[in-house]
Amino acid sequence: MTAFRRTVVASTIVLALGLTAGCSAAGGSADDPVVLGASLPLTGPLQAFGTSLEVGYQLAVDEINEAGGITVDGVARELALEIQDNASTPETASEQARDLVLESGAVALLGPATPPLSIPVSLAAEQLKVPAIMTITPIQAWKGANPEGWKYAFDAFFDEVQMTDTQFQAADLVETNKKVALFTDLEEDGIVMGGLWADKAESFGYEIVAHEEFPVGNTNFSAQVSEAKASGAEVVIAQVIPPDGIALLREMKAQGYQPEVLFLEKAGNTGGYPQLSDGLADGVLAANWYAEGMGLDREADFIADFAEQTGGVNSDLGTIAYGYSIARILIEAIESAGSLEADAIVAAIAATDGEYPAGSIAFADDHTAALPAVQTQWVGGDQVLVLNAGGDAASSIAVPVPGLQ
Amino acid sequence: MELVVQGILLGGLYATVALGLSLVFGVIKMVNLAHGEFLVLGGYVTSLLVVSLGGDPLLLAIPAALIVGALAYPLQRYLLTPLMRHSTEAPITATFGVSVVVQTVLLLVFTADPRTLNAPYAASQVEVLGVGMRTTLLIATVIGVALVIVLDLTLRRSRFGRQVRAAAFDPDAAGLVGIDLKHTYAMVLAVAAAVSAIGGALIALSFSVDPVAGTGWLLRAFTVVVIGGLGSARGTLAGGITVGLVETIAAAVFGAQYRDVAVFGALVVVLLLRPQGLFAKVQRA
Repeated sequence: MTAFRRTVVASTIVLALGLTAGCSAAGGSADDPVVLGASLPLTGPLQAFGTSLEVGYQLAVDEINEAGGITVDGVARELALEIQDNASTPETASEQARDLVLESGAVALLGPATPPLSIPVSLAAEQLKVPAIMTITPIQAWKGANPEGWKYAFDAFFDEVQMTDTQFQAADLVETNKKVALFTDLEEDGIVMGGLWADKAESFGYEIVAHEEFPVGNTNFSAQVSEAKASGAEVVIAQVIPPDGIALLREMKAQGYQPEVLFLEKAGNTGGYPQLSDGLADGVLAANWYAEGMGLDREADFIADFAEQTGGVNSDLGTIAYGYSIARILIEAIESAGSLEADAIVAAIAATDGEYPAGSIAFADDHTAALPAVQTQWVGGDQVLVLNAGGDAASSIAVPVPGLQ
Repeated sequence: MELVVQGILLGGLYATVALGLSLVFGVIKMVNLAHGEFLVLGGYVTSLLVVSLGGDPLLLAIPAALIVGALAYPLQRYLLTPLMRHSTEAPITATFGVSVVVQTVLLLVFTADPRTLNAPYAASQVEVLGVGMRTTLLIATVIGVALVIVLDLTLRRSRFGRQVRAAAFDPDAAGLVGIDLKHTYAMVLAVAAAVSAIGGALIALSFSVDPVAGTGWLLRAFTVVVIGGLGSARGTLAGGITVGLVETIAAAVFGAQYRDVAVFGALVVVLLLRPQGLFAKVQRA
């Protein structure tokens, strides 16, 4: 055999082995576990979401494996969860979504949380034609990212339109002069939600007397707080990132500005925020997706199992419950499809209609499942339910904001 | 009047934050892209000392500054100075690498959550001449002015200061007359890092720090140093106050959303009209 022929034969063998490996990558052989992939923000600014989602995803996978795995094409198979850390960067999330499918053989993807990460992963799922379920991603922002409509990706979370009602509904539960000061940053959701609050205030009987907008990373709130205080607003609604929220609270405290109620959206959903802010956030309100008393499936179990780990009943615990829920939905869809064929799994996800720890989930034709946002107030390490999913009082609100007194 | 006072006090903090960057610019002629991480490290190390030893954060910022300075010394001596022989770009790239490493380590150790330094005066206000002032900003301004005076006197009057100025003016000649350039440069970065650490503690007292906060503060420090005049402690103080005033007045007049537009717009104008900085005369004095 000449050197050239040896090279050709060797190359052919290598190529054939490679092709064989490639064929087995998507789903693997009947003895291999069925791989689910997730690119998560395990480091970086969104780390809290990533670590909580990982716990929820892993819990769902472990439960199924302990019960004997899932049946695919008539054969019982184990599940494997392949997780990669995207360091909270969209580009890495997008790249990892492709790697998880093409290299690790993931048959479906679970989402990374927040629109900047979930949208690139969803787009990768559409391109690769693999099922994917997102969560902790407000559905209007997610829907808007693909005007043509999602075919393989799904999203289960609250709807910003309903969420921006809850601040006024909760403010109605206490005596105020119905004057509102808005503090919204210039990130996409700050702009969107600031617009929604400004538009809705009048219909709820409130008046926006100050609307302060500022870039993300703002530290100097002196003039804005002075203006809000001078306007006499007894309701403050803010949409800020956690460090900016602390700067805002410190400025309010320094200037002696004590509104009756203070909604600190986004920042207020950081686990242990009152401790991080030296108690200033005690009594701050925030829209939430999970709280004790919502009557959700396995609520008591989740609180018993994870409240210590998350430092209380807060949105980090809710993120675990949401992660668990979408992982269960995906696994049940694979089981229901009885195969690893993407279209069959997508059809099964679309047919979901059941109770989960995140709530009652059924996807609409646009692949979204809107779960209700509630309002919670920080009391110690817990976010206590004050406004339930129906927009009614769940418990009394401590006023004026205790942490600012 | 209130706006002017607020602007000056904010400028005092900015000057403290930018002082270390200015020193390194002036002496080593190096852009230190890890400057923001020295600030953030100052906040974290002070916080660790508060938790482990207890006590006032301002007092504990002093040992924190010594610790951060001690970390910076070998960085300059064994990494950055040797790289300076190869090219001017190599040490700058290396400081970027250091910045990424420090950010990543802080994220892994402390998570991404913001961290504050707490004291009774952290969220309080004092009234002077009928004008309300954030106590921490007043403290930051006093510390900033004190640091400028101490640094200025040290550079002008002490033996070490003369060595530093000689190294900055003509490194080759300084080496020929027996000045240990490696040690001098390392001491300059150590002093810069220590001063920055105090700035970081003041940031954590006034606002908060988090592992990735250094980038934003680096940008602010650059603006202060360029507007004030490169390498001058007094110019940095003037630059800090200028930036604080522009920022505060622009936010009050046009809205906070235009704060960055005003500050960086001012930077561009200064670069076009007076690239040596507004207070270059102060620098030469």
